[in-house]
Amino acid sequence: MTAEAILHWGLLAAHGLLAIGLVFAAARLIRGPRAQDRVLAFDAVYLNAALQVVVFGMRAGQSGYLEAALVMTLLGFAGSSALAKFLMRGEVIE
Amino acid sequence: MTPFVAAVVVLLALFGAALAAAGAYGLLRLRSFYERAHPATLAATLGATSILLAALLFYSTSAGRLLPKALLLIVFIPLVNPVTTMLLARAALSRDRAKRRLAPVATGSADEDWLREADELVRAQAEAAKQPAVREDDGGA
Repeated sequence: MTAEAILHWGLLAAHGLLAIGLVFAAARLIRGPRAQDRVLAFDAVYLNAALQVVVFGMRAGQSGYLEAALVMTLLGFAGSSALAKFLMRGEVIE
Repeated sequence: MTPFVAAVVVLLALFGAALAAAGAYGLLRLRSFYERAHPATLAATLGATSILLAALLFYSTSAGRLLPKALLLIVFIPLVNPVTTMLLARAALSRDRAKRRLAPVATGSADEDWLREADELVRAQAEAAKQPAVREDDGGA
C-alpha cells in the first residue's frame, strides 16, 4: 500500500467521523432545550468544522488551510464568549 | 513521504476525529447541561491536539522542514476552548439560581438536581469555614 492510498482513505475516514460529530452537535443545537445548551453545541460545531478544514487541507496538501482554521477558531471563540457574557449579564431570564 | 509516516499521520487524525465524534455523542446523550459541559472539551483538548499533531507531522515531512503554523493552533485551541466552557458554565449557574429565585417551583428538570447539589456543597463549605477549630481538632485526633 502506497503512502498516498493510506493518506487518502485514512483522512477520508477522519472526515466521516468529524462529520458524525458535526451532525450530533447540530442536533443538540436544534434541540436545545435552553440557551446555554445551544451555545455549548455551537462551540462544538465550530470546533468540528475547523478540524474538518484542517483535515481537508491535509488532503489537498496545502498548508494555507491551517490559517483558515485559525480564523475560524478565533471568530468562534469571540462569538461563544460574547454569548456566554450575554447569558451572564442579560436581564431576560427565559 | 514513506508509508510509515503516512500511517502515523492517519492514526493521529483518526484518533482525534474519533474523540471529536465521541464528545459530540456525549453532548447529545447526557442528561443535564452541567453533565454536557464535560464531553464538549474532549474534542477541544485531546482531539484537536491529536489532529493538529497529524497536520504538523504531515506538512513538516512534505516540506522537509518544521512548519510552525500548526503549533499556533495546538497552543490556541486547548487553551481557549475550556475557558469558554467555564464562562458558559458560570453563566448557566447564575441563570439557574436567578430562575429559582424568581420561580421557586421545581419543574423536575435534570439541571435542578445539579443546582441543588452545588448549593449543598457551598453550604457545607461555608459551615466548615465558620468553625475552623472543630476541623483542626478532627485532624489532630
